[in-house]
Amino acid sequence: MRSPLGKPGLIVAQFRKYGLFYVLAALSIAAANLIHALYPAVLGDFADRVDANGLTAEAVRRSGLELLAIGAGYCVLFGVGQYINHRLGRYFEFATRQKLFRHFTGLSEAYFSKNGIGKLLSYVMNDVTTVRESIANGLNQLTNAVVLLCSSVTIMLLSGIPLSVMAVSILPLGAIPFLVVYFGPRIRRQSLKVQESLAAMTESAEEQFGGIKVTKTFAAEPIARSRFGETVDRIRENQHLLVKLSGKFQASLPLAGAMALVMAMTWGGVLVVQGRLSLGHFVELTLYLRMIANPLQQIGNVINMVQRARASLERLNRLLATRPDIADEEGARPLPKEAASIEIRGLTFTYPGAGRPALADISLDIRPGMTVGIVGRTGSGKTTLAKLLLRVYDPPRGSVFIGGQDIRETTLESLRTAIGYVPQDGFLFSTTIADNIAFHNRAESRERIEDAARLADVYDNIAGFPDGFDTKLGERGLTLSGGQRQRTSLARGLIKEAPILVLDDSVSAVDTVTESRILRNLRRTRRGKTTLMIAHRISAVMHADLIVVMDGGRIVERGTHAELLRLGGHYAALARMQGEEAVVHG
Amino acid sequence: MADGKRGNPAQAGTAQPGGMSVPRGGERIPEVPLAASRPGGGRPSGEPLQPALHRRRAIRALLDYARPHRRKFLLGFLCTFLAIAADLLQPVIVKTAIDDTIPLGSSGIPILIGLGTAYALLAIVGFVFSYWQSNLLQRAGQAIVAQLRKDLFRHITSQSMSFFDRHPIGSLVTNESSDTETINQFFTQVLLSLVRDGLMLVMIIGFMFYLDAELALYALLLIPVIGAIALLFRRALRNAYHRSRAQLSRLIAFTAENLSGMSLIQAFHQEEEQNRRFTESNRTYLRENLREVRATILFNRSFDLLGNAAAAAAVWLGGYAVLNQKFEFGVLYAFITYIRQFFQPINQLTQQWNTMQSTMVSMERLWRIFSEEPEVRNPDPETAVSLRKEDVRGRVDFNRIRFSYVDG
Repeated sequence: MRSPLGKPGLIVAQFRKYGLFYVLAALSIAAANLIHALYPAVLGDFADRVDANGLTAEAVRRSGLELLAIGAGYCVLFGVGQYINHRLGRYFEFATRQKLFRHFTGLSEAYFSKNGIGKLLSYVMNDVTTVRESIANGLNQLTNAVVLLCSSVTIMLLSGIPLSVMAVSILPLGAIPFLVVYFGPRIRRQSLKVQESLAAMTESAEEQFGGIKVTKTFAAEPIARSRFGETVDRIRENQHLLVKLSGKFQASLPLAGAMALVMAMTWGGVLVVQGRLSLGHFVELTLYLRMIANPLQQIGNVINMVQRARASLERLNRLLATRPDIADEEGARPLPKEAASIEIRGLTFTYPGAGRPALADISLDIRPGMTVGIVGRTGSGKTTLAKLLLRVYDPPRGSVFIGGQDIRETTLESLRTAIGYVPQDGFLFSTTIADNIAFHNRAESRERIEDAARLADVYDNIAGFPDGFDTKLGERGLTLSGGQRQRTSLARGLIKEAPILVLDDSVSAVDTVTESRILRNLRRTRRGKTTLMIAHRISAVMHADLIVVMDGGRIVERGTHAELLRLGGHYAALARMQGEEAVVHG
Repeated sequence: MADGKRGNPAQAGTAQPGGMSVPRGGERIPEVPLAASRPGGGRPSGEPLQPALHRRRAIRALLDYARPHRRKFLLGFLCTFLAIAADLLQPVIVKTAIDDTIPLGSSGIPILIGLGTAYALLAIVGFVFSYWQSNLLQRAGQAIVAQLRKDLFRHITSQSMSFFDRHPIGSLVTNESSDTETINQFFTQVLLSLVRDGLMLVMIIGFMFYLDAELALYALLLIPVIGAIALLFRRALRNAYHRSRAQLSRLIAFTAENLSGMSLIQAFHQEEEQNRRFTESNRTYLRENLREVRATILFNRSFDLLGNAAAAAAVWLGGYAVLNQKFEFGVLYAFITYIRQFFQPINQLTQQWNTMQSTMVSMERLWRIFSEEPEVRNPDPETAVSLRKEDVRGRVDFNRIRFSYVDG
């Protein structure tokens, strides 16, 4: 099982690493079953002694002790083998999840937006678990079944039970693996349908309860009820089909066992009567038949499991073989120290799969220490420009230079260390606020974290929480308002004190008074450093050294605030629209 | 086996209806405020009504739902009896063959064949009835749950708006889907097991007494031992299961969040740090899993061991009886088979305990919803007037109305 890259597949790697332990587990389970297979033989022996009137108190005691030893030996050895296999299975799961997560960290945004997070999560959870179960349980059951079957049949043959009786008795049991393979996938499919109809009902309930106000105002309850009732009835239908399938399956297994016993009892009994089979062997035969029904069922299980796991394993191996589309090129160099100039030459960029370029023929020269504002409507290409700078997407070669060096020939690490980034959506992680602010280096001192919060004008908010900077965010913690979130995200970008800072519409959710305070702080701390401010609001960029107006992926105007107002073009129109106040302030 | 997760259907039932939700943006508002709206383990939060009383009413309500299906249940139980009879008669039939028929010599051959044919017929009858039994009980259970779901929906949608202010939509959805599903499991699993395994246990004991009263008495001594071990381990197993589930959902949440924020992680070059944190969480999950595996295997194997020891003891005690010609070998043979079958139903029954408890909790929750009366409703029938469409002219008069959303 080799992946296209030539790296060994997941399973091969697992067996290569733990091969010895797997052998140990197999041996342990095999030994357990060899011992277990002796169980009927002891009782058969006992029966023969009874039959021959040769039973003694000593023999009774010995048989009892033998059975106890067999039972104990089986339990211990089987338990050990089972534990090893399950433990190794969990190791596999652990290691595979590690690989997946590491792999995810190397994949680009393009990959995530193409594949969807739900799908990738299901790789991490469902596929890994399916493969793990089939390795651990599959190995346990397979070893178990094969060894027990072989040793039982061998012992029966050795003890002289005629092959014909054995064959006829075992024949009905032979149906069991086929029954399992036939019913297993069908039952599984049907139970998936039950799950789906259950999900549909839940969704309907969610919808109806959520829209209850509307339903009530229109007195549409009867319609809502009948619609919901339909989803309930669908569950019932699906469940009924499931019961029919599983009922047949569950009833047919004991039937096969009973038929085997009928054969053994009548034919075997007749042979005993005729003196061609000892009573002991007759007893053994009936006991063995009970014993091997289980392994036959397990063989069917293993077949089903392997089938299910194969698809999952293929998916996992394929995913791990995808090459990250954005990576360091061969001979990539780190950025020169303190590189802070940005040069864009004739940049045209089209998103993968998109028809129209998102950016067309952009040229821009930003000298170190400049503050540049970029304004434009939604979809004009502002954010794309920021993403290309960070190589979230790769710009074409020879189009973007930082410190005079093509960023495509630059190591990702040095590039991303040199640029501080405050994204549009203010995404925060479910950890503490301090941890979120110090995201670029979790070891930052508390003072620096607090300073950054002050610069972003969010200090008072945070200090007001009962746990202050140690307040947990997210699912089990606090929910911040949109504005607080944005300012925390801003603090996270500022604390880095990077030579280049990219602010992507980072103060859009705060009120104008707070905004002007933040902008004042920014001007003070970013003195001498390059800052790129993307904004909707004129007020955010009007102090910039250079303002670039974008429209439809092109730069349509450039200049200072005053120059652009005089020009009377897009920028001036935007300024008028956003209110005289802002303009007057300027 | 450590493989089977079906011992905890209650947990599967409380899974969130939407499956995994992927957070967009930094924070996530939990869709269903589980912890807040669900009193844990039957402890109603701030309810003045005693839980015992609540519980009794809940059970009565459940029985009311089951009443119309009495006949189906009765028939189902009857079928169960016939379905397991074939399996349980097997040792007795082999015993008859060993002790009574084979010693007859060649004149026993027709009897032997008759015995075989009878047993084959019994097995076929068992097959049919076992199929009918699961159909009947499931059908009854499904009908009850479907009715319960529809009634609950009607009840909720007929409530006044103030009801929806008090009950978050998420928790109502949980009531409608998860709680009713737990009750479904009660009918399809718990009840089935109670009937099937209970009957099996009783019949095995009956057969044992029929074979030999003294040995059977010894076997009865095992029941409390088995039950105690099973219950003791179950608690540990449940505990381990809960812990690993909790860690799993933490791992899922972490992964989902990091996948959504991956471009940020990359922009800040924090791949290593996040990887370290993932490893930490993954390792904790591994540890909890191994704990669960250990507990499960230990439980299953010690249960096995007890079964084997019991069979060995039966051979020892019964062997002396055979030696003293108190009874014949066939009796001992049947006894050993029974004692090995003895453990299965007890194990199954203890497995139902957890589902049973979560059913109670679910039923109580549903009952609390059912006992809420809508505040806005039709006036009493004798004073109710229907508006006729042609009389409505579109004029609405408000005459000195005072209204506040909250009482007082």
